[in-house]
Amino acid sequence: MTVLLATLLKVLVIFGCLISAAGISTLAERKISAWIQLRRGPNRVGPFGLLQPLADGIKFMFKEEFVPPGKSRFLFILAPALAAVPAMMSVAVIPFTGRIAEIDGTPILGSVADLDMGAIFIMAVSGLGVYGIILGGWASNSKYPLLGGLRAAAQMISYELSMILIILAIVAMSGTLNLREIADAQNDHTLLGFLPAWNVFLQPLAFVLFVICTFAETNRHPFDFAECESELVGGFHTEYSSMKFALFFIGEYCAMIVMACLTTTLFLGGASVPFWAEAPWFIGLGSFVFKAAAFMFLFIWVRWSLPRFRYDQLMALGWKVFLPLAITNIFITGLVLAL
Amino acid sequence: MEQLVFYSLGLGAVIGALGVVTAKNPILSVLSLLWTFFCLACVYLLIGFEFLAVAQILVYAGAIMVLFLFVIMLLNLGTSEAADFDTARAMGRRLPLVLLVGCTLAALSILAAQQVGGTSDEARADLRSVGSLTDLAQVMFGTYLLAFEAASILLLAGTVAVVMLAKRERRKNAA
Amino acid sequence: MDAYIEPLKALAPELLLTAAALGALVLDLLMRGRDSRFVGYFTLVSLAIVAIILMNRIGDEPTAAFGMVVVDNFGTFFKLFTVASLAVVTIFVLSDRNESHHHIGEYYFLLLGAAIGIFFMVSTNHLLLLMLGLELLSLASYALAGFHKGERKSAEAAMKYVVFGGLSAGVMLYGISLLYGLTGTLDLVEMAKSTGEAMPAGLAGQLTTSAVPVALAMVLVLAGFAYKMSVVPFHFWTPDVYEGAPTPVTTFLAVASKAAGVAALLRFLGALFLGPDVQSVVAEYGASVGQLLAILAAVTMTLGNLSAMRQTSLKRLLAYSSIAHAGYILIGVATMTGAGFEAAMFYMAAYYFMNLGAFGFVLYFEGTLGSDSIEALKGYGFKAPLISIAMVTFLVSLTGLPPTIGFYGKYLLFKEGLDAGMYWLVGVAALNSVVSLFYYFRIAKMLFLKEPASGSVPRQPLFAGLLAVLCVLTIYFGLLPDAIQEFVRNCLLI
Repeated sequence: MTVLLATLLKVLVIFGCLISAAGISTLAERKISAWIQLRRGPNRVGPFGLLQPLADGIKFMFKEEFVPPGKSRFLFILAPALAAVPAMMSVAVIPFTGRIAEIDGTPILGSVADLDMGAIFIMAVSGLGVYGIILGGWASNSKYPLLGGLRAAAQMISYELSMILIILAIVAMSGTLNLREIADAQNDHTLLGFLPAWNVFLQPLAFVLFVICTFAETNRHPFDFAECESELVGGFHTEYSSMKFALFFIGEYCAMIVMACLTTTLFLGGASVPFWAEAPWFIGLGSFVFKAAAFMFLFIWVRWSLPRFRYDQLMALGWKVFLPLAITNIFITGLVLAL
Repeated sequence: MEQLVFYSLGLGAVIGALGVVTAKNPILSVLSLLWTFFCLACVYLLIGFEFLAVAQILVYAGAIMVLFLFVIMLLNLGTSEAADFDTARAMGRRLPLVLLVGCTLAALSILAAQQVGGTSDEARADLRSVGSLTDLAQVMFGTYLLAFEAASILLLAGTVAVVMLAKRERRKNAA
Repeated sequence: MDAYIEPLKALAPELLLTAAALGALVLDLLMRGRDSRFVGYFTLVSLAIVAIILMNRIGDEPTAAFGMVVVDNFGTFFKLFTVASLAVVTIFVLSDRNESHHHIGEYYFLLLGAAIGIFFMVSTNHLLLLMLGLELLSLASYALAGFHKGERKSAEAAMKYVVFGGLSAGVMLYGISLLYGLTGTLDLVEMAKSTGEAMPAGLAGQLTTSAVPVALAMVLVLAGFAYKMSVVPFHFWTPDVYEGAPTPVTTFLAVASKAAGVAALLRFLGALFLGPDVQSVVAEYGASVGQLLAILAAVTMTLGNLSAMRQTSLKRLLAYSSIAHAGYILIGVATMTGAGFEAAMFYMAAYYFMNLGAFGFVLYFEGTLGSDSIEALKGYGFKAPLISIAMVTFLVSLTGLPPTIGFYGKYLLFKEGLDAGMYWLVGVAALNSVVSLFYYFRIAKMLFLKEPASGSVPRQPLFAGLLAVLCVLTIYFGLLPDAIQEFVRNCLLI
């Protein structure tokens, strides 16, 4: 019973935190962009503008609902939900920290669900996010959203391939698909006596490829062709307003957070703290959040520093550079492991 | 409980499958198929085949159906073309045939299922043991290694065939 | 490591073919736009090497590899058959005037890929590998049938083939899944051997309790074979695909692909019903499957021959004739005896010579006249006498008249049919042969008995030589069939 309660509590806390983190990320995005562009950013609502996400949320609720005529009304309303749900679902398998406590012999772990297929589950579920975008683009009954949706679909499929192949190399190294075990496998020894055996050091190529793939997978700058203001007005969500638009937004930020967490787990040893193997769980959690936040900062930093690619460049990069490199990486990993 | 879940999933899958053939809008057809796949994945989960369930979502829902949607949207198949052929009415007119084929297949499946007698607890435990990833890998790369490799040649041939057929033809210089 | 290397030796021909297929693809890439014939020569050399390996294997004791592949003389016979037909098809491609030699690497890749599929099909008792081989063959055939993608007929052929093939494959898979569910194994030998006491019950157990699901599974699986062999009622694709596909591909489909269907069917029936450890219930059941096949045989040959009479296109006519021949071959299969199977295999060998020859003629004739209508044949015999005489020989053989190999093949089939007590079936077959006389000789009449039209025909010595060799062999083996019969007998399944 207590185990069940603890699990329920975990679910509530993790999803609550995810949604808040998505809100905080929007604020961070605006603050950091302002900082990069030598502006002040939001500073009127609350101290330093900290309550801005809340204000935004309330504003969205009172906006006019608009459903374009012509295509399916049902799909138009379904699409934002389809975009947001997969991102929120996939956070369930992220191991945020090590063992928290033990109740009646059952360990309470740092993830909602300690799935054996964690790594594949996350790819499968996050791959579903594309439906929201493509259907939203189609149901809008307008050409810019349609183009945005189609581009997003092509882009996500292309980069998902490389991403899975990269994950495969990591999986081959740790011999498991369970994300917790993958994280643990990076902490059981050190390299050259001082470096933690994180995959970022063991698989530098995979790390670089993976991080770039996450940008493409979440439709972030410099690969944000689903939105692409300068060409497509706003892409798949041009016709969306009110909370439906907000759902797309939350979905996008949740996906970014999940990707940041996944990168942390796969390449930075998850919740571990270097040189402190016996760290208590809350320190581990702090370490995890710190690493993930660093990636979130990277997401934002890149968006406000780099120009956008051209669409054909993006596809060429995905199929002609990343895919071969990822396959080579698997071969090399396999070869090294076999020897 | 398990039975109830199974039958509701089965019902869901059948409704989805009916939706695929009767929906007027091709996009809705694709979504119905997606729903069917989802129900099937849940059935796999129910019998403990986690990997199969995830693979079903990853491959069919995540990749193949997206391509379907993609093509339908690019071809811009509106409802107008689909409306010329009303599958629901066509099926209605051939209701006896539809029922005959459906019932025959259902009856035979039930008969076959009874013959196997695979519902014993022993058989179930047996089934669960092959669901895990390790066992699956052992079967795939051990017992059925050759079939696996043959399948890879099959896929390669498919790829070459598709590239050959889909590649844009340059204007022939000679002709 | 040795545990993996040793079985790989058993797979040497398959591996070599795979390497050759990839080689052809890469070679075409390297030779881009220069000499496309080179890829053809490369294919021929690879085929020759495979053939040598296979020849050395004849007479070896059967071995198994990877628990799925059976390396025995039966398999080797059909592998040699495939390699030999593929070699001739390659020569056809090389001398095809219509072929633009565009994408030639893919062309050979798909041909070789189809051959790999056949190799797997003919040398396994495992339904999974059988299915994979069948699919590989089908997939490559679909693409090959639609190879001239700019042409309407070729595209139509590919489309019809895909739809039909997909449907039949689905039906067959459903049957296989039923068989698996009923018996708990995909291995045919295991399936037939199981006593039915343990769970799952095995074929014998299922047959004693309730035979309906088994019958359904059997019919569904047979449907898959029937499609590959183009047996009625799964023949609808045949005329359209044969007509629309490029002629070398048609040749491949008519000869190698059909042989693969026959081989797989023989192996399926042989392992399931005629093996040494088969339960008696199962063996008895085999006899009733034989009855079903006998009926199919009668319907197939009758329908094929009657439809062939009305054709105006030579390729369509040969397509219907190939349907009829599938019916003749089924006589041998339906007897469910070793001798019957031997007759069927001998007939396949006969079929090789006469059908390759006939399609070679079509290719030549199409290349020179740009049409395959029977009307256009008028007086062709006076313009190209050598190959026309060869064609008449092939037609005689197809009809089943002495002194050709076709006659001896049919004689064997009829004899085994009579021995097995299927008098009515042999009667139908004899009547059918008479019917076929009409349309085969309509072609011969067009060739020689009509007034010659004006114009001349360009010469192709290599091609004419090939046809001449096939023609001579058709007569030679017709007079002295012992060599082939001996060979076939060495390669028997049971």
